[in-house]
Amino acid sequence: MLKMNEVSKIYRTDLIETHALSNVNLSIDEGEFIAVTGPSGSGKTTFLNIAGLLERFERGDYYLDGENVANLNDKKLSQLRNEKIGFIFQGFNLISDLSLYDNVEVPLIFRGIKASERKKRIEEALELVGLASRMKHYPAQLSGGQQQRVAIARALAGKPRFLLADEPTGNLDSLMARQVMDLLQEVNQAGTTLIMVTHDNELARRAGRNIQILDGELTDITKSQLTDLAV
Amino acid sequence: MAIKHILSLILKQKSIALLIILQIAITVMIVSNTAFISYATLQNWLIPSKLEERQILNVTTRVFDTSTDVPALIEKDIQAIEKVPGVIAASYAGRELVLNSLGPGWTIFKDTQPETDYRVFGYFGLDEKGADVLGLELVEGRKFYASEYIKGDETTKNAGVMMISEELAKSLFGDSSALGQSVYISRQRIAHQVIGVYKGKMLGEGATYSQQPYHSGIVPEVIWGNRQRVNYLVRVEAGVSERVLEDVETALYHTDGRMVDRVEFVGRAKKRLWDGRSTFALTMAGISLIACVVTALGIVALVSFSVSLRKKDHGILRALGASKGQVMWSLIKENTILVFIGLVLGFGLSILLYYFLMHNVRVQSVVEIPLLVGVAIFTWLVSTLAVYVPAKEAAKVSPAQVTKSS
Amino acid sequence: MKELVMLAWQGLKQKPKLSALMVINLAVGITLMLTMSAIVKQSSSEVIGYKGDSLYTAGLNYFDVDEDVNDFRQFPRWTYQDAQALQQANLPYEYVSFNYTTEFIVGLADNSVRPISVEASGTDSGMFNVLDVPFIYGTAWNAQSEKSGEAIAVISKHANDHLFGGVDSVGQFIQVQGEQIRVAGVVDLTRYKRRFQDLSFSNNYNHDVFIPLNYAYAQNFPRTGQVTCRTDDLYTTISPRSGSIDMLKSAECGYLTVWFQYHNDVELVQLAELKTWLNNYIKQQQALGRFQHKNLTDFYSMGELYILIQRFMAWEAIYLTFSYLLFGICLVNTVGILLAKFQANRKLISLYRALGANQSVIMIIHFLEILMLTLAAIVLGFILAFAGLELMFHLRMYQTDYMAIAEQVRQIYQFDSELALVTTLGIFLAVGLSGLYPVYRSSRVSPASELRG
Repeated sequence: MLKMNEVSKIYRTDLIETHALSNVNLSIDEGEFIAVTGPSGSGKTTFLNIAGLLERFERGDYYLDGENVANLNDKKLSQLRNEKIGFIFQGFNLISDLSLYDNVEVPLIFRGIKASERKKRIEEALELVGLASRMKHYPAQLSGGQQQRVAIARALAGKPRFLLADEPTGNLDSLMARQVMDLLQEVNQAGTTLIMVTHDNELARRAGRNIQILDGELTDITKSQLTDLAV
Repeated sequence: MAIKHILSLILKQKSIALLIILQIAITVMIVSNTAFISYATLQNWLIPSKLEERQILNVTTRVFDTSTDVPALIEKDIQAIEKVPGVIAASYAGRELVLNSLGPGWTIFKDTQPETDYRVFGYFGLDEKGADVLGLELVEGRKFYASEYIKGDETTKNAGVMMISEELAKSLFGDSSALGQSVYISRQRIAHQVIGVYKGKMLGEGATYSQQPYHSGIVPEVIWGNRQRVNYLVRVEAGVSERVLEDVETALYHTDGRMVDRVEFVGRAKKRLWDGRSTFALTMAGISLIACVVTALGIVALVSFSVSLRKKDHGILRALGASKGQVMWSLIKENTILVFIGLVLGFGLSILLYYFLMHNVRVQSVVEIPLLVGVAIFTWLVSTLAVYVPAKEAAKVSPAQVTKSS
Repeated sequence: MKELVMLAWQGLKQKPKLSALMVINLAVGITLMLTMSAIVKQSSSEVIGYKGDSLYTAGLNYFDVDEDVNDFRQFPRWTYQDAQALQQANLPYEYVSFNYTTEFIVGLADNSVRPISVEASGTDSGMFNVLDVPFIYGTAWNAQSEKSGEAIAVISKHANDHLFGGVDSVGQFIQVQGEQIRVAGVVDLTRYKRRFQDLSFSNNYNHDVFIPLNYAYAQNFPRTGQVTCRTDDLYTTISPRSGSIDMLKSAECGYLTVWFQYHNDVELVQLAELKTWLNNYIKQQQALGRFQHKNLTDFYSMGELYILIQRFMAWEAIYLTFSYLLFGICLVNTVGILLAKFQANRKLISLYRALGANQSVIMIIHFLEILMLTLAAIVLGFILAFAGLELMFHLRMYQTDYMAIAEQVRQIYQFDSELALVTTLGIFLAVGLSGLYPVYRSSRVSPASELRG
């Protein structure tokens, strides 16, 4: 369902070219749980941005659900982001001036879903993450773990093809981190593909498949290869 | 973003929202009153004069040498004027000139009862060519007989017969014919018999000011001596150049003991009628323009600031699948809500200012609903144009900024 | 300090679009405010302000009780009889002067120039002291000429330019209604913003010829200013504008404006004497059936008149109100622009803070930046206001259909240095005040807070 062929991302300044990603080849199947690890500056974020259609790339092809996204315009990319990808960020990225309900609703509105259907989906999603009772609250009234669960609910409400999680527990203490990870794993087991970028090897061990990025190059590794490289 | 989301965002940035609303309200107040005033002025401007504004000339001269033989001078002047290329005919004008009354407004009554209401009308004393110079078209009755024309100085008696405009006839006598009726001019109620009715034109200055532009009447009188004035109405060919003014003046001024005050197209006299009001309207239009510019700049500034505060939110929206257009559109919607509130407030203020102006200043102004709608649309357009600039900037936020750790 | 200025300059260049926006925004507001306040200030400034307290006019109301008479514009002018009584009363004053407005055509005996139609004053030599007129050539006529009603005139620079090509015409003759009138002096009144001697306060033009009242009577020059009779019937009978002068002199028809020039410091005492005399005069006349109205007398100093006429400058007042309102909006905009600008500068500010700048340094830098932008806006505003005044001047000429004396009208459409100074200071103060919040806000950016990511 996700396939990258020779994808490269190059940052240019007047003087130098930096290969943030070089010739990435990757194939991900439906329902997989993949952890992407690597040290700071290795290209994790770039990979995430490209996989999540947040950034364009210079070379190669990227098939999402069989559609090559390499040359799509902004509008089409926005639509794909909206429909196929659910994001979970380290910093939660909730809109602080909107209630939980409204936060979950925003992407559904962009998709043009009817109000009654939206209501059903939002309630389901918030139910799933255990925050249905607090849907009128604002993000600032919640703990970090709760905020992240709202973000997960927002991602799930759109019934995406895959979830893209960027250090989902990075800003949380260990108890909350565990709860969030359990939730993500639950979602994955229910059938949603999950790609998680992290520098935490312990989290990475929970994944079904591990990928490491070093200097912009991607390699599949075994769990035993998850060393303490990433510091 | 749905309206309710936008509303909750607005409520979170109350001060910016309030400032924008206030600006819109004040601008609406100024712009709509300008529209009211300009419209009222324009209504005056747009009253059809039915005159050939560039084919009739007003000529005013003053004979200051008391020994001058005025009747001989008039005869000589008319010949001189008619020799000027482009001139068709010239008539002596003893009382008013077209839209140039040179004195108090004239009144006309339908009887001699002390209580009767008068009409203000343009009162012309012209010679045989007068009706043709003015281009009058008879609808009823007859023109003056040659025998009816009287000539003389101020002590001369009145001719006693007159032609009046259709509109004046209708106003005085309703549906019954004015022919053969007596009318009474001025407070002295000098009796005249109506012998003809012609199609009205905008002729009298006082009558036009009294909103009765087509009320007029002519008498077959060539009477001179009123404050040394010796005036003419001249008909010239269509399309004749401005030079004719100078030529007529030149034809007249070589007479000692007389000076030529002014030679002008009646169009110029018509312009003068509304000069004060149109200047006020014009200045208000300038101030309105500045108000729009200032408000537009203000919206650019305030929305820029609000956008710079919400840069992160816009990044999130983009990541969640909002296209650039959708981000811009949500900002425009946000602004539209503010404009709407500002309009409501502004219309309230406009009406207050309207009453203030009506009561304190000599201003003509009309509140018209279509004007308010126009002002509303205009204000929305200007403000949307202003929002467009920072909104475009906001939409440029890269969706990838969400993956930057915060 | 030089370094701080440099840093402020850097900040200014940081967001050039917002800097330009701020300058344009302020300049627009300043232009409108300067233009309108210059017009209103010049319009309402007194012609000979130093006489504001010592020059008085008075009204004596002979109308019937049912006439509406409240302020000086509704008061009738003085009748010949009342004016004579006043003059013979020998009251204390420096000068008393009567005048009426007339018009006639002036030419030269040899017809070497085109005659012109002029507005003129029939008056006395006291008028020249009242007006404090600047004579270019010659002097006023003397008491002898005044009494005899000699054919003598003081003419305006405008008339002198037209008739005599601007040379000294004293002793030459002008011709009015076939009569030769000797020129005694030439005066320039174009610098007087308004013609106040006839209480018209017109800004369009001043009178071109001044002649002794007795000569004006002898020639029966028409009364073209404000003329009223006690009743309409009287007006019809007397025909006071151009009818017989002897009938006018004995009728209850007013046409004369009076001015009293009092000695400084005793003006109130002298005015009190006038009031007492008038009260006695009224009592004596009431016995004859006159003066039944409830508002019989009215006194105004020049200063009071100028305050009064400002009430009638409603259009200008509206322009000025709007211009202040719009400048207020511009200030609000300035706050918005500065907030946006400093928000965009947060990274730089937090870097400065991290590098050791304390809050006050940040504030100084920002105030310097605001100062520079305001200075630019003021310069631009002044340049545009000159254009604005020019535009308003032309609009005014259009309004008068080009029948006003441009030189005189222009007096209203000018800056004066006092106004320029006060407004400039006011603008700096206003912009400085509106900068307080944005500057405060940005000075509280904590060091290095914006440097991550």
